[in-house]
Amino acid sequence: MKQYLAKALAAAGLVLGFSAAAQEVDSVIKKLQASNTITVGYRETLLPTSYLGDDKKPTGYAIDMCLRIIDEVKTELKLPQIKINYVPVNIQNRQALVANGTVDLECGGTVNTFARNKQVDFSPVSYVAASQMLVLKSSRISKFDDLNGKIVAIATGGSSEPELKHIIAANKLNVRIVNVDDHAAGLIAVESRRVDAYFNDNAAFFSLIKQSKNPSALVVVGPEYGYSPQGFMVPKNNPAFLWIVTHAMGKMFKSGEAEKIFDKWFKPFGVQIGPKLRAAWETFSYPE
Amino acid sequence: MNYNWDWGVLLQQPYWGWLWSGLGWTLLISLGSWVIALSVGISAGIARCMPNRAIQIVASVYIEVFRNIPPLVQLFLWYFVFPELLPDALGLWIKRDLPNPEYVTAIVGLGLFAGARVAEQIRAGIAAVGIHLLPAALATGLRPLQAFRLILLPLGLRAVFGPLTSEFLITVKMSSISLTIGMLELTAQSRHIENYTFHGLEAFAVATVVYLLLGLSVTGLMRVIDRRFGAAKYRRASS
Repeated sequence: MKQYLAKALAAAGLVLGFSAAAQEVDSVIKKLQASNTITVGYRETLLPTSYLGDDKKPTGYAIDMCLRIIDEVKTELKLPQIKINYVPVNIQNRQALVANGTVDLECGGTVNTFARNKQVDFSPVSYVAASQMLVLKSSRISKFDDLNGKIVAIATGGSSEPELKHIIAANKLNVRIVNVDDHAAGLIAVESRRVDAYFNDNAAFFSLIKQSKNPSALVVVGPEYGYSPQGFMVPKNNPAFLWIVTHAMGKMFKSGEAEKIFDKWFKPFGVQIGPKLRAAWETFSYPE
Repeated sequence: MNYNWDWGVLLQQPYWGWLWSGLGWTLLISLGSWVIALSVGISAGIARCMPNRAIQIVASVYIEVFRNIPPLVQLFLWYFVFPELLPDALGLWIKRDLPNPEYVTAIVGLGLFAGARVAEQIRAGIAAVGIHLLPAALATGLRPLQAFRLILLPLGLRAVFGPLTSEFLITVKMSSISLTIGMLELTAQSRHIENYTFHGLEAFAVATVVYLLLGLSVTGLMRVIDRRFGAAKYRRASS
């Protein structure tokens, strides 16, 4: 029911051109003071960032970070009783739901782009995605040079396709490209040794490895190619709310709390904080 | 609807090139699978009418199995399952070293599905001109295969030329499901363009027109062949 309501609201928001909620300044804080409820958008299957856990409750790296942010909201606004109303969002509707004010804080993995910034605002960088390779451990592929003479799968239409072509040209590699229709087909291609590597956005790899019959045989390798900084979306025209979000995250970056949350969710997948994410966090670690 | 039509985007590179390469693959897949469908279908159709019981059963099993499993499932079985059932080295060879494995899988998968349907048309054609011609042909001293090749098949094929045209048309359109195993044919390239430009409606509109033109050309071509060799010639001659 909630989902249908959210979809209907999203559609209405698209028709109205995101106008109503976005124009009033600090509408989120006014709503919080009036209703004592914050609406948090989450993703249902984006492991380990934002997904429904075994108990069917939203959980994950982004949700943990957002809970800290909401704690900060409670103290800043002196509203200790704020309740959280979770709304599932997906890739198609997430931006519209934030832009029209249905969702106050989108806790998923949305890449911060200038195009999106026209309609919504972003928190500081929560995670940096980049293109890497999913390979079988036994393949001994570890860098782009190892791909010479190999077969590489890419998802048709994704941004990884031009990137791979660029890598092939830059390193003068001889690579046969196989197109796969979705991530699952990419995983099957690697596991069945139809291809030697699946080149994609590494944020998609974690749930793939989890789905695999034999996760320990798979490994994510290669230098991180490209820069796709992710953040949490908030509606535009909310300077005071965005300040609380930025401040809360800056404090987490400085205190090492962000690193602890990151390790809690990503260590089990063998992922450590990369240099680009570290740099982004340092950038947002403003002094008090 | 609030949609910003921009047909010019299709004329830009690389999108224009993608459409052409997609059309090329659609043609190659259609022709390749039709060649397989015709050769397998005619053989199975004849086998179904053969006086030998064992041959009949083998042909019937092929026809019923391949006709009754959805073509998409068959394609997946050929692509994902079949290589895994073979010995490791052979399976790997099919997956990796076979020249263009996706294309070969596509035409084999689609060709065998269409072949089962063609076989039934052929059997119907032979039945229509009269399987009782067989004893007559044998009585003239022809061996069974010769009787089919020289008498029953030429007459039977003419009788089912119309339905065979439809089968060819279905094969052309069904080439689009090969996008699920990574063939970048016309439909896949249209989706590709949509992903990059967000102008999917234009790309799909062009693909629709191209499929329509392809279908009309196939119909026209088959009509020319029918007029030259087919039943129409006999109808004209006898009237």
